[in-house]
Amino acid sequence: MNETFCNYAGKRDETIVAYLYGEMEADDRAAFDRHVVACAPCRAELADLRDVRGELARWASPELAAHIPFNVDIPRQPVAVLASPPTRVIPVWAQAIAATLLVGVAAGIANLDVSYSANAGLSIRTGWRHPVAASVAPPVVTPAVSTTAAVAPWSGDLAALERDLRTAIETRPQPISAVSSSSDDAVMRRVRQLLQDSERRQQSEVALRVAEAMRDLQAQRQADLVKIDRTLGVMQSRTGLEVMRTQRQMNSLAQQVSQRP
Amino acid sequence: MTWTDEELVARSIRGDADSFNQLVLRWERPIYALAYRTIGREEDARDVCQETFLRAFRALPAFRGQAKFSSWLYRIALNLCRDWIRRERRAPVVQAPEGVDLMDLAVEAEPSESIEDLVARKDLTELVERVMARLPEEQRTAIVLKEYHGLTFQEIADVVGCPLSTVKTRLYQGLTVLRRELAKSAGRVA
Repeated sequence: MNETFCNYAGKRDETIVAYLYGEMEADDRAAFDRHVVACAPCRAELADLRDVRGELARWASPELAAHIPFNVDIPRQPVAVLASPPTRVIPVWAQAIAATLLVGVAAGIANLDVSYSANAGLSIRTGWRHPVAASVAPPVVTPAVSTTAAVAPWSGDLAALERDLRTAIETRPQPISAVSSSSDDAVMRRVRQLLQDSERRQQSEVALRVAEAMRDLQAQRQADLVKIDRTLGVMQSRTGLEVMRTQRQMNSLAQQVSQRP
Repeated sequence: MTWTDEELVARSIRGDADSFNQLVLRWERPIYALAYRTIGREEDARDVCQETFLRAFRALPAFRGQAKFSSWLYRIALNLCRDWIRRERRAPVVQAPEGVDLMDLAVEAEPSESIEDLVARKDLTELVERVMARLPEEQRTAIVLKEYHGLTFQEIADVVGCPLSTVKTRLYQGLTVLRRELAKSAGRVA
C-alpha cells in the first residue's frame, strides 16, 4: 500500500535524519523500515536526501599546502632571539657619555649639594627648598649642625643621622696603624668610594637599558622585514598563478575555436 | 608505536613537547578542513587552525578528558570561526578552489565524460559550496561535522553545546534547503 500523505506519528524530521545516517536503535529502525515501505513521501524524501549527501561528498576542501607552523618550542623562540648577542655593539665611549649625562641630569633634578668642612663635617643636601626664617627651624641638636638645621625642616633628621654615623665610626675598632686625626679622611674616602660605586652602577644600568632598547629595535626591524618579504612573495606567486591560469584558458579557447569546422 | 590522542595529551601535560607536536600533525588537516568549510577562506582557515592549536596548548592543563580530545579541538576551532564570522560580519565566502580550472578537471575526467559534463560537474560543486555558504551557521556546522568529520549526533551536540534533538533538526533543515536549491538549479539547467 502506498500512501500519498505521511501519517508517521513520531517526530518525523528527527527520525528521517536518524534513519538517513543509520543512527537509531534496532527496534526503532525496524519500525521505521515498515513505515517507509508503505509511505511514498518518506521514500521520496529519503531518496532525495541521499542524493544531496552524494553531492555534498563532492565538495572537497583544499589541501593543506604545508604543515601548520606550530611548534611547542615556538613561544620560546623570541626569548632566544632577544638573548642572542646584539648585532650592533654600542661603543664604550657612548655608554660613558650616556651614563655621565644621566648622572648629571639626576643630580641637577635633585639639586644635590655635597660639602665637607672640618667644623660641620659631611653635609649632603638635596631638594629645592631655600633657607627659611630661623623661627620655623626645628630645635638645634648639636652646635655642629645648627646652621643646617636652620635651613630645612628635615635637617634635624640629617643631623641625627650624622651624629649616629660619627658615633658608629668612632666606636668602630680602628686599625693599629690608624691615628685619630685621620678618621675624617677615612670618612671622605669612604664617601668618595660610595659615590664612585654608585656612579659605576648607574653607568652600567644606563648602558644596559640602551643596549636592550637597541636590541629590541633590531629584533622588531628584522621581524618587519621578514613579514614584508613574505607578503611580497605571496603576492608574486598569486600574480604568477593568475597569469598561468589565464594563459591556459586562452590556449583552451584557441584550441576549441581551431577545432570548429 | 602509535599513541592514542588521550595518551599523547597525558604526555603533553607532563611536559613532553614532542607529544603535542604529534597531536598537531595528526589533527591539523581535519581542523583546517573544518575551518575552511565554515568560513570559506583558505588563508583565514589556516590562521584559525594555527590559533586553535595555540589555544589548545595553553588550555591543555585544564583539559580533564571529559570529552574526546578531537571534540575539544573542534569546539575551540568552531568558537574561533564564530569569532571570525562575527568580526567580519558576513557570511562565509565562496571561494573557487585555487588552481582548479577546466584543464585540471579534464585530466581527472572519465574517458566517456564530455566537456559539458565536466562543466556541469564543476558547476554543481560550486553550487553546493554556494548553498552551504548561505545556510544559517548552526545548520552548516551540523552538516559539516556530520558529513565531513563523521561525528555522531551526540558528539555534535557536545561540540556545539545543544540538545541531541536540536542537532537532528538542524541537519534535517539544512539538508532540506540544500535539496530544494539543488533541485531548483537542476530545473534551470534542464
